[in-house]
Amino acid sequence: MNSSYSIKTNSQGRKVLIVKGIVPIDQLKEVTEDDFDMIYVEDTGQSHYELSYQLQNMSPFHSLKCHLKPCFLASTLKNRILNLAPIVDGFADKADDKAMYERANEIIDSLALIDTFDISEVKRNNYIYFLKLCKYAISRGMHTFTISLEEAYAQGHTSLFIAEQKNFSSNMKDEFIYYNHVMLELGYAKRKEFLERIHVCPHCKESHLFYMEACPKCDSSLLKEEPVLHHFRCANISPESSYAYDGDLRCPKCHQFLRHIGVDYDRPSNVYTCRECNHTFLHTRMKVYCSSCKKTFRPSDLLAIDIYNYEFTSEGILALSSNDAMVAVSKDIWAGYSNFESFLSQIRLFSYSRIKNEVIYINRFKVDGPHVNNEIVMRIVSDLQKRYHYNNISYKGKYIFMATKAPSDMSDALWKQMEEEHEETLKIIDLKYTGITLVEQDYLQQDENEKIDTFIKRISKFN
Amino acid sequence: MLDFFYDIIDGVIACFTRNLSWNALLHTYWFLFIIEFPRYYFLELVIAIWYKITYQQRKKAMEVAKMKLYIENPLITILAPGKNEGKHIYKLVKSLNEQTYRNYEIIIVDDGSDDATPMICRDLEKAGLIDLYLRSDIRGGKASAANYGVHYAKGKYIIHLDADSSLDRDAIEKILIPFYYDPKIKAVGGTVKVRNAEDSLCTSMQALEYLKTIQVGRMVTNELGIYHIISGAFGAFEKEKLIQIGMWDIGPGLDGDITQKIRKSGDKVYFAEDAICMTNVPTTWHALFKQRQRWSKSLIRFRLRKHFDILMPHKHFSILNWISNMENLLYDCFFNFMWFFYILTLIFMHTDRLMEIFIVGWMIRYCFSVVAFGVIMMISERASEEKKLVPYLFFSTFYTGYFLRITRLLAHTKELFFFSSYKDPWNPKKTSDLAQIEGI
Repeated sequence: MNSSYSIKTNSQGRKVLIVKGIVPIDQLKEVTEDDFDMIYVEDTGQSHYELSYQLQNMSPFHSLKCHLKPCFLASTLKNRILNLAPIVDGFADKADDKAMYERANEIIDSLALIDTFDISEVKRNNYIYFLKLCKYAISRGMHTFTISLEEAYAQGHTSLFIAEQKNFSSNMKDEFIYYNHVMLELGYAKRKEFLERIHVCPHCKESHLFYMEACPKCDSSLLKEEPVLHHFRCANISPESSYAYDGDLRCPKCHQFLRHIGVDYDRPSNVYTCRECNHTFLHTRMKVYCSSCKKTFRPSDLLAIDIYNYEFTSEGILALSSNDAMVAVSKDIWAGYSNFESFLSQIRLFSYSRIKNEVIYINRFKVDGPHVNNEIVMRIVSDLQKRYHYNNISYKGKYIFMATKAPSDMSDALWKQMEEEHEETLKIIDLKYTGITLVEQDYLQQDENEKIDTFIKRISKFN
Repeated sequence: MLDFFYDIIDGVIACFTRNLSWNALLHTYWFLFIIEFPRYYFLELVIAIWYKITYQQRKKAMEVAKMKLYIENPLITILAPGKNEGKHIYKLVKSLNEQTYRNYEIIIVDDGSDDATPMICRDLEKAGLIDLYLRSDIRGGKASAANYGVHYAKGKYIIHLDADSSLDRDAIEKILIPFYYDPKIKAVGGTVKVRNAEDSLCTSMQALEYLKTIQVGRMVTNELGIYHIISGAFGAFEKEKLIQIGMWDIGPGLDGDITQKIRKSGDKVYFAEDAICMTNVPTTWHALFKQRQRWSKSLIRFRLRKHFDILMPHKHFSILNWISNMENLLYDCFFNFMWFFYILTLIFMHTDRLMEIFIVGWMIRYCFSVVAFGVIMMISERASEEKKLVPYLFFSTFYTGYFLRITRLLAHTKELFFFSSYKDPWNPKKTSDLAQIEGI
């Protein structure tokens, strides 16, 4: 496939970057972000994968040079983009299509009214990414998010926020759900209508689930289902196979032929037999296999998610067009760290994605010593974060707080393991930072039925 | 009015002072002395004494059998078929959890219940309290439900229970021991007692009756080798034998029928008087009347019609089976009709002395009942608790002497002449119609 590009100026003075094949735009030294206003991708016979790759290259969210810029494709590529359609602004038969230019003009005019981020801030963290998605939607006049249930998306439904993301991490989803909550609380968006309640994997929050019948005893799916026959005359009931006689049905008890259903016999039920353990049962047990995280659950463990259509309010459009919108609890969240106020809000976020039997644990460490300063503490925080993979961490005064989710009924072995890990960590910190002592002060555990607000109050007092 | 009562009292006094003679008594109460007393009182007393004398010897043999049972420790299947019995299942399962014999599986067969039974049973199955829950969406009758369970049973022995039964904690062990006492025993019946004896006069009378006719009556027939009915409420069967004889046939009265089938096949049946099962009995006279009508009809249908061959000479003729069936037919059916004519004779021949005859008859019967109760006390494992039923002996003449006799009489007449058991809604019409065509 020949790859090339060209820049043409249209009748309205807009500069169009015409792309053929795969062109790494951000890496082209001779092209700067000011050299083009919009992009048009021609059909050079590229496959779906090649096209996807190119669209990632010029993503309005990730590409430095194509940031939020209008993007159009040749009409013939329509069937090849599949789930990336939401980040394409339209299709045109040729590069100088009049309708395409009109649409591009609308977007460019809208973008002029929106404060964009500094180019270096592109996808610095999830929060910025979320805001960019909002800005993208506003610039396109997409004030209503019409969500539909789609099997092509791992989450089970389309959403402005996840359209171009294939590998959304579980934490990122939690965060985005949380931002949606905040947007609703702040009045930036409102729910338009309830669409559906879907069930997703409680572990990875994805919807690509297989529902399988299984043996209630050994959980195997190798089952045999067979109807049972009731012979009225002699009251015999047994599986159909026991009646099989040279192509006819003959009662194994009285040896009479069964001729007429409802008169001689009926089929009162079906019985399953497990081929693995030979257990017989009437009702199979359902199990759910998540194709993404490869874990198996019971249907009752699945996470129910209500899907709504949302719409931006005028206040939301105004706020999100500027860079002052405060949808996130803090702009300083990175790698799990946040200031203490944000930390508490993040705890609330945890509770949205808690699965059954899980509670939140807070560990508090005291940092002490003659050489304590902010920079050192932040390095320690970073080390702790890497070591424990804690979901959230914060620092206030002389204390470092770490939050994680774990089952409420942790075994003694697990407790012991955790304690040993703590001791080892404290030793390492002690060796690494001279003049600094780190001591595990105490921990706080959420009660299984405790509301998150009550728990947050306890943490505040804890401090 | 008062004069009338004074006349009766005078008559009764005269009967005991001036007119009393053995001849006169025998002449008037011949039915009581010749038919009832030898069979239901004298014979039972003799056998009970024999039972007590041989108790230690039998106990030793049973201890050995118990040891054999626990050495083999076979898996057994507890099978409870029924319709709309969900509310009783949990209690049943709890009583089974207390059993001394532990190697069992529980199969509940739901015969087309239209209440919350499926939900309850599925929950119990999920919780692991029952091993298998089977259901027919279309009601097929008790026999088919029981057969359905047998097909999926894994146990060597099958214990058939009514879902509203509960068991003494050693009942399963006790009902299994006879299989190891004599290998020719292929089915064992347990003792059924009344759990709701204190609910009403009706249930108290049934409690007395069950003690007399089941615990003592069946012990006597068992000792004589003519035991002929293993209660559906609590019976154990060797699974292989059960399948060999074609399991249960269409009822009502399928418990008596299956016992006959086992006896006919040449094997022994046994009554374990110490394997105790408690069950709820009808609390109203009307409900009791309907239940007994159903039970009584099965005597004609099965013993007189279906298993009539037992009474006739044939290749596998057994004198014990002949006596068993004949005794049953004579005492429960033929003598019942005879009693009817006996009463008619009394009414027409002694119209002027009817009240005296009735009161003296009651007194004689009361004395017999006291003897019978003494026998119960000798045999029962709960004698001290059952003493409280003594006051109800006062009513036993009316209950067993009149109510049950009239109920049986009506049922036998209906069945003899109108085949009414085939119209009983206890069984689905589709099966009863075919059973009638086939004459089973």
